[in-house]
Amino acid sequence: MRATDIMLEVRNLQKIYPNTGAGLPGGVQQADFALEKGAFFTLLGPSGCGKTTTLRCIAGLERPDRGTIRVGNDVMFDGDSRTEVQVNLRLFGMVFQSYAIWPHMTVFENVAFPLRVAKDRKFASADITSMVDRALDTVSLAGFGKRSATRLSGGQQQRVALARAIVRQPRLLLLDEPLSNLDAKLREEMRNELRRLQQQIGVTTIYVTHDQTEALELSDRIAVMQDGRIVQIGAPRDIYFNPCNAFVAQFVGSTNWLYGSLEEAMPGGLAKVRLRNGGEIVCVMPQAMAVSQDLRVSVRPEAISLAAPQCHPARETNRLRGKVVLAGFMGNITRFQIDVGGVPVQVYGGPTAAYAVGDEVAVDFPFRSARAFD
Amino acid sequence: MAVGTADPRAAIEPVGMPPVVKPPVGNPTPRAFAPRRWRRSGTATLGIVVAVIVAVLVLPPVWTLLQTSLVPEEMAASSGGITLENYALLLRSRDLTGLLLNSLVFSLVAMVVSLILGGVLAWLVERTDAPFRSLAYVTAIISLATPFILYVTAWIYLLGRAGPLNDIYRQLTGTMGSPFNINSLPGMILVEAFLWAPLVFLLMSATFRAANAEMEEAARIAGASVFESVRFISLKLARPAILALAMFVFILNLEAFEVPALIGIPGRVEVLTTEIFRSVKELPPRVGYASAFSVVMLLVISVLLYFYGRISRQAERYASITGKGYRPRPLRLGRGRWWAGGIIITNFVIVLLLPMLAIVWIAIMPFIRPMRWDALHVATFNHFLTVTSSPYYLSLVSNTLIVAAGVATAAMALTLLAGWLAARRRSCGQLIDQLIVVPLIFPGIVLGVALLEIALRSPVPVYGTLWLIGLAFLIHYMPFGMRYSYAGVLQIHPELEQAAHVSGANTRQNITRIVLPLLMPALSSAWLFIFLLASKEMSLPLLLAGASSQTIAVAMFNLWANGQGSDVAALGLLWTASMTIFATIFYIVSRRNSSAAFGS
Repeated sequence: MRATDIMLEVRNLQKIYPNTGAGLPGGVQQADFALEKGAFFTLLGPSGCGKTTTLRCIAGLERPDRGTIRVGNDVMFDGDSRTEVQVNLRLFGMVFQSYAIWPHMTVFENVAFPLRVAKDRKFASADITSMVDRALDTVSLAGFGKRSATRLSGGQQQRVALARAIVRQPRLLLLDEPLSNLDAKLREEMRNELRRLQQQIGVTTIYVTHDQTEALELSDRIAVMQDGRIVQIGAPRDIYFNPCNAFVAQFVGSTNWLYGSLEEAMPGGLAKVRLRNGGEIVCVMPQAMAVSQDLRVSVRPEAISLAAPQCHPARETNRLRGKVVLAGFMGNITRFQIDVGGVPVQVYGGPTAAYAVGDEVAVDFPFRSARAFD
Repeated sequence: MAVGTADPRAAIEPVGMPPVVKPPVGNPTPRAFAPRRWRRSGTATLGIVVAVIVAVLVLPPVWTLLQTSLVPEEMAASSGGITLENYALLLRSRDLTGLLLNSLVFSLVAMVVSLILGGVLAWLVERTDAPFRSLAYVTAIISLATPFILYVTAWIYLLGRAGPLNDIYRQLTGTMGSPFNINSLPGMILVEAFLWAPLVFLLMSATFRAANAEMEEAARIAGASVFESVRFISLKLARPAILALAMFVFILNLEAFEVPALIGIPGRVEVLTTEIFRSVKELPPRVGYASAFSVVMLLVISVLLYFYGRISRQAERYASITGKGYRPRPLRLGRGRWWAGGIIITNFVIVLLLPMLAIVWIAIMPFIRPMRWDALHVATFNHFLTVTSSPYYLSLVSNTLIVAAGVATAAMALTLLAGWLAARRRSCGQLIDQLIVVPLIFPGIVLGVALLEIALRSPVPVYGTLWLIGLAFLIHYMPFGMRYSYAGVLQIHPELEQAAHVSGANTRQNITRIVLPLLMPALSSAWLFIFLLASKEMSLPLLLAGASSQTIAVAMFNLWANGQGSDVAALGLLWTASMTIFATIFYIVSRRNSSAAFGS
C-alpha cells in the first residue's frame, strides 16, 4: 500500500500491566500494523492477549509505555517525543462492550452528545437534529430519539452506541467486543448489520473479538494476538489456510493434530513426516526443521475426505486407514470421528456421506492441506 | 438503616415459586413415597411464626406512643379517655417553632457540610492519583468505630473555653476572650458534620467505585473534556445516589441525640430529640407531651424515608447498567496532586488525630486544662487505674458485652429466617419484609420513650433490667440485620436450594445445610456490625438503664454530666482500643473461615 493510503499506523506499541489479577504480566508487548483507509481490521485472540489494551491505546484511554500511533498524517501518540493527543480531541468513534449508554439521557441526547461537546466547531441545533436523525436512521432506529435510554433492549442499546460512535463521521471506528453481550441469534443479525454499515459509510474500523467466526466473516484483515504480541496478520483466508504457527492453526477454526517426526524435506516446501502411530504423510513445512525432529501436523476436518478402502487415492493425497467411531448427522454436514491408529480424527463429510459406526474407511487429505509445526 | 445507594430488591425480578414437583411414581416405598393429602407445609408454619414474632416486636412501640399521646396527662394509662390535649399543648408551646427551626437548620446544614467534606474526599481518593489515599480509609474506619460521646467530648474540649484553640487565641492576642463558642448552633453543626463525614466518605467512594468507567470513557471519546465528562456524565449519574445519601444523612441528623444533648443543652440550643428527652426526665415526667412529640417525629421521618426509598430505587436503576470491570484510569492531577494530598492529610488531622490527641490529653490530666507543655509534669495514669480496677466499671463492660453479643446473635437468627422468607417470596414473606423496616422510623430516643412506657405498664418487672435494653436493641437493629441477610439470600441462586429439595431435603434441612452455610460470611459481618453499633449506642438505652443495667455509653454520658470528663476519656480510650482489636481479629478469623469454605 502507498504511504498516502495509510489511515492508521501503529509502530512498536507497548503497554504492560505489571500485575494483573492472575499475577501474570498483561497488556501489549509489541504491536505493529498499518491500515488502509476504509479497512475492516480485527484484533483476534483469547482473553488476556492484549487486544483490548491495544484498542484502548489507540483510543487514547491508556497511555502506552512506548511506540507511535499515527492517524493519517497526525501523530496521536509518540513515546519518543512524549507527545499525545488527548482522548477527547482524537475524535474517534467507539462502541464499548457494555455499550455505555448514559441512562440519564434520551436516545437522542446520547447520540447528540459528541456534537454538543465538540471543541473544534460549534454545531447549530438544526444540524445536530439532522445529523442525529441520520445516524439513528443508519442504525435502523429512526423514531426512537425520545425513548429513555433505560428502556431499550440489548440490541437497541447496541445500535444507539453505534449511532453515537458514527454521528461525527469519525476517521476511526473502534469496536470492543460489541457483540459479546447479545444472544446468538441477535449476534448473527448484528454481524451482518455491522458489515453493511461499515461498507456504507466507509469508515476505517478496528474490531476486537475473541470469536474467530466473527473475525473471519467481517474482516478485511485479521491480526491474531497471543500473549501480548501480534503473531500473524493477514486476510481471513490467509490466516485460515496458512496459519504461521500451531497456536493460530488451533485458535482460528478447528483442526486435527497428528504427531510424528520429520523424515526428509522435499522440494516445493513440502516434507515427508513419519507418524508416531505408523504411516507416512507428506505435508507443507512453513519453517525449516531438522530431520527426525518431533513435530505435529495440522489437518482441518473439512480438508479430509472419506473413501472406501479399496478405491485409489487421488494424486498428491495422503491416505491413512481408520475406523468410524462416531457419526453425527447435523443437517448440512455429517461429523465423523475416525480412529486412526489410536488417534481420534474429526472429519466433516457432506450430508450424503453415509458411513456407519464400525466401518473401515480410507482417510484422504491433499498434501497441501496439511501443515507441520514444531 | 439503609446504607448506600439502594435497595438490592429493586434490581431483582421477583423470584417465582419453585415449580411444583410431582410426587415420584413407581416402585413405592410406603412411608416416604406415598402420596398424601395437601396440608400446610413446614415453610408456611415457619412464615407465620416469624411474622408473629416480628409483629410482636415492632407494633407495640408504635401503638404505645400513639395511645399515650392521646391520653390526658393527669390520667394514667389505665383510663380510656381520648384527648388531643397533648397535641394542642405542643402547638401552643412557644418553643415549637424555634425547636423545629433549630432541628431543621441543624440537620440541613450539617448534612451539606458532611456531604461536601466526605464527597470531595471520596472523589479525590477514588478517581484521582492523589497521594496518601489509604490514609483516608484508615481515618474513616477508626473514627466510625469511636463512640460518638467520646468524639463529641473531644470536640467540646478542643473548641471549648479551656481548649487549645481559644487558648492559642488568648496567647496570641493577650486578651481574655474566647472567640470560639462551641455551645452554639454553629458549634453543633460543625461537630455533627465531622461525625458523619467518614460515613459519607465510605458510601460515596463505593458509589464512585461502582460507577461504570466506560460511561465516562465514552464521553471522553465523544470529545468531552475532563470537566465536561464530570459535569455531564459522572455527576449526573451519581446524582440519585448523592440525593439518597443526602436524605439519609439528613434523617440521621434529625435523629441525632449525642451532639444536641452534650453541646446544645448547655448552650440552651434545643432540638426535637433533646426536648423529648427533657420532658421525660423532668419531674414530674410529661410522658404524654413527649409521646405527642415523638409521634410527630415518626410521621416526619416516615415521609422522609418514603422519598428516600424512591430516590434510592432510582439510583439503583442508574447503577444497573454496568460493564466489565476495567479499572478506570485515575485522573492525573499534575501539580494539583499535592494539594489533594494536603486535603487528605488535613482530613486525617481534623477528623482523627486532633480528637484522639484531645482524648488522650483529657485522660492523663487530673482535671481539664489547656494543652501546654508545662502541664505535662502533672500527667497521671490514675484515671486509667480507676476505670480498670473499680467493680463498677467492670460491671459496665460485662453489661455491654452481654447485651451487644446477645442482641447481635438474636437479630441475626431472626433475620436469617425473615430474610430468607422475604427474598424467596415464601409464606408471609412480603408482610415480614414490610413489618421489619418499621423500626427505621424510630430515632433512638423515641424508641426509648416507647419502651419505657411499655416497661412501666408491663406486669413483669422489666424496667431497669438488661432484658429491656436487649429488647430495645433487638427492635432497633433488626432492619440492619435484614439488609444483610436479604441481600445475602438474593446472591444464592434459587437452583441451589431447589437442588437440595430435589435431593430430599425439607425446609429445615435446606435452611441449616444450604442457606445458612452459604450466608455465613454475610451473617458474620452483620453480626459484627450490630455488635459494634449496639456497644456504642447511647440515646436508646439512656432512658431505659437502671442502676444495675448501665452500658458503657450510658455511663459515659452520666459521668460527663457529673463533670468526670477524665474518667470518660480514659474509659472511652480503653473501650475503643479493645473494640478495634476485637473487630480486627473477628474480621481476620471470619475471612479465613470463609476462604476455607469457599476456596478463595
